[in-house]
Amino acid sequence: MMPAPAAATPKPAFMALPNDQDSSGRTLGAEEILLLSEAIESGTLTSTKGKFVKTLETQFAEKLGVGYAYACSSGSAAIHTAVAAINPCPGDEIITTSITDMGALSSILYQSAVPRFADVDPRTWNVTAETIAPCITPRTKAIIVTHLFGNPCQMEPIMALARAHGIPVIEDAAQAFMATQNGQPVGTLGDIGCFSLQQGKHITTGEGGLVVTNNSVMARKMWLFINKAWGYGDKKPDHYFLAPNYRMTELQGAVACAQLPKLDGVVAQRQAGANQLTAKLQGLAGVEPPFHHPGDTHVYWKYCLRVDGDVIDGGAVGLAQWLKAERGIFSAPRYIQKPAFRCEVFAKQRTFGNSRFPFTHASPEALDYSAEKFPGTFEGLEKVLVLPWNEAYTDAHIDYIAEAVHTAVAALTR
Amino acid sequence: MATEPVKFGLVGAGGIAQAYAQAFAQSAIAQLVGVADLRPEAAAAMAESLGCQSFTDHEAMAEALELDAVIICTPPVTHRAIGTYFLERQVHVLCEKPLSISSEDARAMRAVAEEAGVILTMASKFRYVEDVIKAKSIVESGLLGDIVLFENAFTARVDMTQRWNSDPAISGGGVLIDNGTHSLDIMRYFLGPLAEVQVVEGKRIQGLMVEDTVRIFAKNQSGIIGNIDLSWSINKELDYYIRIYGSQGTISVGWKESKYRQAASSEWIVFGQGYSKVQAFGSQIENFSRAIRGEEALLITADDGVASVAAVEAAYRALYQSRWTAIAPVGVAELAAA
Repeated sequence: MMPAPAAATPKPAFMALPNDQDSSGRTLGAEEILLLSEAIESGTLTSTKGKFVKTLETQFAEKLGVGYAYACSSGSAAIHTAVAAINPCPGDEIITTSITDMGALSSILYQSAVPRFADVDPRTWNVTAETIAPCITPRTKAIIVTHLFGNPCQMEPIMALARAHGIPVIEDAAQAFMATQNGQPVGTLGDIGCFSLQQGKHITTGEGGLVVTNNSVMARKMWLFINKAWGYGDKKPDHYFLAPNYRMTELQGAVACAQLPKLDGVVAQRQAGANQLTAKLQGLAGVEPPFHHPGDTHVYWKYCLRVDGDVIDGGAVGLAQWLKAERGIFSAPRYIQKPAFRCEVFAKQRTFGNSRFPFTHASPEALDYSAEKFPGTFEGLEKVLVLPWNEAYTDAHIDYIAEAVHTAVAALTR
Repeated sequence: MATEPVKFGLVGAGGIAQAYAQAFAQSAIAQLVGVADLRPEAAAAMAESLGCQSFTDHEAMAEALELDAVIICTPPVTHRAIGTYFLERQVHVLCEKPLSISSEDARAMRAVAEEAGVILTMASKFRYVEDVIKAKSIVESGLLGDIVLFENAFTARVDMTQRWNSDPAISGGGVLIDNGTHSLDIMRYFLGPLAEVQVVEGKRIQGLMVEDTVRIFAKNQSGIIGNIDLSWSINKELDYYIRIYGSQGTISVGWKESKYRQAASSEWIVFGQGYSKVQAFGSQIENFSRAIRGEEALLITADDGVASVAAVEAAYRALYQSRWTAIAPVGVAELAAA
């Protein structure tokens, strides 16, 4: 056969990958419809009277082996609920990561505290005890660690540091259902764990969240916060403090009850697929497969490559463009594009009216977002390429992605 | 930003005033400009060491100097008259504890301060101790679970036979008002508004007209109990002065170090380096000065001062009647919580 001219190398037909934004990449089906029908037929759609949300809470607490689990309306609401349980005063500081979703940050401001951003390890995009330590001040009221992309933060040194200062730790496990460290699920390693049931998570109700804890005091405050701080069941109930209605509906609760038994399978499939891809990418110059610490399990909310711009022409952005143009694979270079503190809400302190509250109560150090304090963040964002990941990927899908990355790297290597 | 320091007068040049003198020496925003004491030699000696003017009565000092604030370090029975005098002249007042010997006096002082639009605060040094502030943060965070029991002790062998503190006409009582003011203020700081109190007196050792050893039992509005031991005649030899027990841990605030232990852990974690009188007095003056300048919230409000007097007053009623006695709520927060 005659070799094809170089310019006419045919593109393979694009393979459609299962997508977590529609039914191709979700585990929603007959089980959810059955329980949802039951919820609707019962005529009770509020969780204060219904059984599904209560069942979800009980089953999730059992699954994680924690004393208390409460459902709420979103992953952002879960973080807000956890922060409210700590009850910061105006201007108090809550240490958090510079690479995270705004929903995990706005809740801090709504509770009148200010985030104190910690840098991340550019290899995992996670905060570490070393990046948190310089952020601790007498005004630190809590530390929020985010197990980004489903990969656990190193909790032992973080907890030792936090305990030495008597500071509670909130785990944002929105992307990390059933990720474990030394066999224990994330979300149960700190004081409070927060989970998300948003559309793209391991299991979903469209929007939805869960908070867990072993601490009875924090549990009580979180339960109240979700419920307008109304003391249901008390002898003389009242609205004890300022709190929203963050309740999950029975509609979400029914779907979640059907989703929860599928979680372990989803996690196992994502891990198996990720391990296959990692094996196929080993040794490829210029791209590093996801790293996780020994003793941890990564649950692959996304599959992130570290792309070396010195080797790959155009770096992560160049690789993403190639994958989209040549293989129809939509990936996200730079993840959230810029560090959270570069968003207008922080850079311009846009909050309540023209008050700038609670930034008005912050220490100047907490508002120092100088780039030199965040080398890991900038390096991490520059190098990260977020590949979509899904439990429905077959061997063929993974082969397709592996071939695409190999060919892209070959084409783009300087 | 160059701002003038807050100009202070000191009323009373006794023992406690010496502690303030040290704090002024280290402060950048609080400046001592005058000392008044009925004993001319005491006023002069202190003024000389601090490089400021001395007066033999507070009114002369008020007339001669443009004071922003005063610290009242005279015996309790004089607090209302002296405090009111300065508040009416729109001078901010930091008054040594107890704010007054009756809650009627304390409420009257608070009313004058509100009318004049100036700050009235009560000295309660332990609230400014870094370890105490950190301990409060740990308790509030919930790391120790539900709080069940508060313990405090201020005990030391001190001869009170020759001191005004044991003359009830001057001091308002014995060890209960002298140290109990601190104790009940700290308990309220940690646990919120107090609801009721019971007091048992111990054997009088020093032949005083007043009690020299008492045990206080108090409850906050949610039913958390506290034990407080006060004595001028014994020393309990404890290395801590506050201990708080929760369902999930214990915290201990000590003279040389402070630590906590969670129930699930076998380890005590040290979080503080102990009590420093100089630090506490310094922080108190700094906070008062910054509050005057509108830069910080005042840590101890007039309501806190009134609450502490009301608690001590209830404690004396409990002591005399030997029964649990309600503590009157004093402010919006306590009425709301009641």
